[in-house]
Amino acid sequence: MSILLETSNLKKHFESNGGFWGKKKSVKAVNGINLKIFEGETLSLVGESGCGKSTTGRLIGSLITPSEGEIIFNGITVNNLGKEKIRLLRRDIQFIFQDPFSSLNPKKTIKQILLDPLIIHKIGTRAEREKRVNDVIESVGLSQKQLQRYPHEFSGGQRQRISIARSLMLKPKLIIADEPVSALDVSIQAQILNLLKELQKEYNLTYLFISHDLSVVKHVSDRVAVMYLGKIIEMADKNDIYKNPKHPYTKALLSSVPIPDPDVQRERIILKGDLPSPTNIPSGCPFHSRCPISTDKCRVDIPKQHHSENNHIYYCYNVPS
Amino acid sequence: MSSMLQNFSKNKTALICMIILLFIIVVVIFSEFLPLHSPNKMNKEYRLQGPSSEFFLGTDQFGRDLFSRIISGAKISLLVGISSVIISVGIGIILGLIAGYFGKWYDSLIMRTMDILFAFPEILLALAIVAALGPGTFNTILAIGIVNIPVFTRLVRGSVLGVKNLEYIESAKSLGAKDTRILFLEILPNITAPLLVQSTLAISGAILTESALSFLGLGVQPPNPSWGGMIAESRRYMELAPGMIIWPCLAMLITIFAINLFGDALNDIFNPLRGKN
Repeated sequence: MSILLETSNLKKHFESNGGFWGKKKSVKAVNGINLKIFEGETLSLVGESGCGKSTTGRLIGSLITPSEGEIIFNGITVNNLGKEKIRLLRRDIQFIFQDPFSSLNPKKTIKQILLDPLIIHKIGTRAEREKRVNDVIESVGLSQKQLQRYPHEFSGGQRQRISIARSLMLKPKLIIADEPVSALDVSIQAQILNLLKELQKEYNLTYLFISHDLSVVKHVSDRVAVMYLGKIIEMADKNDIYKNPKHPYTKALLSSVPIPDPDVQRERIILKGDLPSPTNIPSGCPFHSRCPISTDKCRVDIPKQHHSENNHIYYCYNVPS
Repeated sequence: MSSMLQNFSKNKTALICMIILLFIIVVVIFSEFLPLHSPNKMNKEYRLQGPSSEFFLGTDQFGRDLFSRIISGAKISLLVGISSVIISVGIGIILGLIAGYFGKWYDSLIMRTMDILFAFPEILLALAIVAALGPGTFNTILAIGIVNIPVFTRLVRGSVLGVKNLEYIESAKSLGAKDTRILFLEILPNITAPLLVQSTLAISGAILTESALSFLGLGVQPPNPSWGGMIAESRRYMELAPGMIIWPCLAMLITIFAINLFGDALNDIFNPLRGKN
């Protein structure tokens, strides 16, 4: 499989202005991310809220510019491109956002919303555009009759289908789905996830799937990357990471996933303390302040990348590979 | 949209005010076809008269018909009110969009300038501008237009700040839309409601400012009638012919009252939850 997107040492530090007299602080939202996304796969980014997974998605989609590091998409280094070139690049990278109620402009009909991408990039004649809209709206399970309606006339699930349709209009290579189902009812979540899977097969799409919901991630992913305080701390194939987690943080996360059987007993790992503030990231291993197996070494040195079989990567000193 | 129309027809205040305003506008537009005296024609033998069958509301110190002067004044008041608000809304939208959307030093520069304009009392600033440009109807419109820019800039900027971080703006960006497209096709259509309400209220403010300027002799120049100018002229004849001051004041009162209530009603229609809690 060929690499579609690669990042190296990607960082985003937001400068928070501490007021006129205050001290400037830097929020290290993303703090050195290295990942590869292969063509046709679904890579999931998981982590608790505030760990920088959405920021990573937005960096990769060039919605914000990185403070440091490189993004290489399809063999092109994205960072140094001019505004016009980035605009062209956007045809290949599309977003699906979390909140289906604020991601569609309430003053536009569905048809206008779907035509927008084609108009912006001046693609096709009028008839071709209409045809594309009709094709895409049906491929996401809505009917052409609904094109003249406004977003407020649809349910959350339907709106998310419209968002997906919009992201498909330009025939992108990579779709960044930022928590696409967390605002939906569980019954509708499954429909949307299955739709995403079908579309992936049909159009050979690659997904970067951002979520905090481990059951959802298990359903859609090929590979999973676990983030903690702006860093990836473990990355592996889905089955590998769910069956054989290495990093103590991943273990704790997985132990929190509910099992739909009340008789099953298992050991829950409860982490102590709260997520440290990203303005003040602990020295050494960022997880040492909450880690049940941390040693003195963890406080000083940042763990190196450890490899285990099946391209399983993790960053921890105290776990044998 | 249809629910908004329904709200509108249910709101009796809005309906009555709209009828009054439409009536005034229709009278002003068709005033030339009405059997009225010329507003500037003097009749020496009929000076300072009360209402009669010949002069519906009486005459002023030169024997000019008060009724036709009030209607002619209404034309000027509405002209000044509406066109000055068009100026301030137009410029206010552009400045507010830039300040709110681009932020950073654009925001600081524009908003500090607006703060300076805001620091002057409205009438004083208008007075200074008219004094600099010279009196006259067009300069009055310009002066009042400039004075009202900060109100609209602030309003638009605030609304933009509320909308610009919503996901549909971000998704337009991720589609590759240019800034102008985002500003005018994504943001602007979503902030029209407060703008419309504020514009209505600003029209009545502009009419008042115009009257004040004309009262001070800096607005519409005689012999052309304007409500403020008529009130100013009538001061010396108040005891001889009280109608000279009463009728223009009443005309102004009704118009401003109707516009203000209409603006308030629009506000209720756009924010149906506002009045209920």
